[in-house]
Amino acid sequence: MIPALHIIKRRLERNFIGYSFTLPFIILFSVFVLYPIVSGLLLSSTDYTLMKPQSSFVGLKNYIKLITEDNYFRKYFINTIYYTVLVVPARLLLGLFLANYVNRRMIGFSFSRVIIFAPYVLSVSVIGLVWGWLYDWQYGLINTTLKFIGLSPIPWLSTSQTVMPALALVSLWADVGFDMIILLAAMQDIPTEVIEAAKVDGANGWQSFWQITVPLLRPVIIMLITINIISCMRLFGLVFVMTDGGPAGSSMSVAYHIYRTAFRQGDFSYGSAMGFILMAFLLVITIIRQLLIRSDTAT
Amino acid sequence: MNNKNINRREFLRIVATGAMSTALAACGINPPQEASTPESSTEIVATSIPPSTQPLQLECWIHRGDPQASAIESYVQRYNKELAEKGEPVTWVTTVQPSVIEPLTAAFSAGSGFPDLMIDSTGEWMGPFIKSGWQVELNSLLESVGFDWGQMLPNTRWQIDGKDYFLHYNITAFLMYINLDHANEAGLDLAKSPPDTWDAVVEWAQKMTKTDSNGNIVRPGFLNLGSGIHPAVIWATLVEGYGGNVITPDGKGPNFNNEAGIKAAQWVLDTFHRWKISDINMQDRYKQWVSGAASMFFSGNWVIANSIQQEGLNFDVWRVPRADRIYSTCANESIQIFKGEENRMKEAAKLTKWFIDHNGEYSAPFGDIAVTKAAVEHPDYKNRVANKYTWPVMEAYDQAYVYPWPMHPQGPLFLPYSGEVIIRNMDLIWQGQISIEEGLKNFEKEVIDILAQEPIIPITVV
Repeated sequence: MIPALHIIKRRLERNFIGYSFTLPFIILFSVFVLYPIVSGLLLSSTDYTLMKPQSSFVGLKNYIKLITEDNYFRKYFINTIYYTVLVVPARLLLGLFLANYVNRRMIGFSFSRVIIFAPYVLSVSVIGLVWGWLYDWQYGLINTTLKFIGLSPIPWLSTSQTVMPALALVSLWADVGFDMIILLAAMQDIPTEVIEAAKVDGANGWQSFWQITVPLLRPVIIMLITINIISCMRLFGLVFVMTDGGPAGSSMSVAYHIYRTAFRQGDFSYGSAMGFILMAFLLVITIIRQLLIRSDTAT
Repeated sequence: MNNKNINRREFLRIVATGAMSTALAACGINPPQEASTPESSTEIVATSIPPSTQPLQLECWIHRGDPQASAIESYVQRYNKELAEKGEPVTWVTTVQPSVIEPLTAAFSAGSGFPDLMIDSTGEWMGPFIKSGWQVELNSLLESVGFDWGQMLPNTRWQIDGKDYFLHYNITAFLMYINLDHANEAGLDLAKSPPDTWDAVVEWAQKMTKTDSNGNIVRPGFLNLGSGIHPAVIWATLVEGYGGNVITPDGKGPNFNNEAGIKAAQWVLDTFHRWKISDINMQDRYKQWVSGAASMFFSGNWVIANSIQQEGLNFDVWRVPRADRIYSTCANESIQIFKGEENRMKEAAKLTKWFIDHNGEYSAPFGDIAVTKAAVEHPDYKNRVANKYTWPVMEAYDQAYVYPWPMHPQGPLFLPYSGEVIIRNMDLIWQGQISIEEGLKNFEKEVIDILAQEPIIPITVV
């Protein structure tokens, strides 16, 4: 027998029981993840639509059309990236600030931790409905307050300029608690000796935070950035509940466009192709994250 | 405890058998069984029971908002009760569906999962289901349960190739809602000088609009929005009024990238910027209208019920304003039956007939407009409050200036009035991102591309 095969066989024999315990996972993963992915990939290379179940193979035609011709897809992709750019840094910076505040155990920190994290457990529909009312042009609490203090009301959801920042603000409110908790856990893992040593060396609070705490949080920050980018690029619920993609498509996200293409227009193959382009983009982000983490480990 | 040692091979066999059985069960496939006897097979048990004694459970989807959805549910429950009293083993289960496009699409893909019957809001996006045969033709089916098509009022039936696929239980048309308190405050008299034309609408709205000291609108005289379906419908109505067409009557091409289309789009824009009678930032038109936040509202008779119910809203209605000609679109509410076993379709037809037999009684509490001769004579319907507000709709049908929203075989995206194509193009004009000319040119190009794939389904109003 070839030596390599012999080694594999021996390894399989040695780990036989271990591998067999993974069978339930492998079966479920194959049925519910792998099969849909492969099936979606095949679908994206056909011209299957609701009205044309007898589809034919079209190769990369859907992908080529998406990349070279579809201005709407391009616009919605840019919308989604714009939303991501608004949300990800804000979530991280605010999360860092809040985690630091809670970590310092100032007055009311325990209560604040609960309050900040609470919106994260709400469903996106509830969040969307509540904020839809808060943002209402005429009767919303925010504009009523602005008018009360003598400022002009803001058309939060009804102009192309304000709608994405408005959605980003909702996301910030709802999700920053998650970032805070993860960063807080990481902060509490930092040995106190390191901070104390910095103090002895004359670092003030600000210096110690930026030059000791933040660098030590780097792996967690990279992970959070990746998770947040992926979550933002999958923006769906808030758009569905609050704006339906309007006005003028300025809040239409890629995920919502995929849903509309596949399930309202019935164009499943084109929708699948969009999904794979989004997946490829997210895969690149994940690979970059892996490389960054690897470079961290190496240094 | 009796411990038994198993070897690796045996362990793997047990795990694999268990996992495979679970996977097959999840897929709905019965794993092969050893030595099954004919007596134990489910097939024999099933055929031993006469089909007539088997209870039949059918599914009815309701695609309406409240208060109509709750009312329809209670009618179906009443029907269930009547069936039970007669000893018929049939039960209807109702599901109120906020959106039916997705579940119907899923059912189409799976080839199963359609309801037996759907009591729908607008049905103009049902083209794909008619074309594929899932939504069935109603004529012979309803006649088989004694339904009389002759009882339907004129112009209430839509036919495709001489066949009915929709049985309307409520007809609609657009009309102008006017807040009478605002009109009186502005010294306007609906009886003496009604807003019969779109120019008159502007005059009325200008008199009723309220602004603050900085000139900002605090109460628009005409309710218009800066995006979505509402400005698109106003534009489309005006295009037709000025002699153009969103889609030509033969369903083969657009006819709006011209003077009519430009004039109509300019009218919509002028409501915001020139005449300042509308607030471009307003959202949720229905909420704004019923809360008295605007003075005039162009919408359909589906708003009547909520307007009546709204405490303190003193309102009246007027017919669709005239441009060069008067034109109104409609999106009637209908019952649809889906392909299934013969006995199920027959039961669906029976419920349909029963519901239409109660059309007058059902419509009475709302602004819904009855469709049969008997229904309009029903005492509850004849004496209802809403009748004061339904005359513009009746007139539109009597004088035949109401037309169905065009239906495309590829579904809702391509609807010229309410689909994404019109909204995503016209929104850019309302939002000032492109010029009217450019917007209409882009929209026209998309419509031509869509119609090149398949033309509009021609509907004949009977």
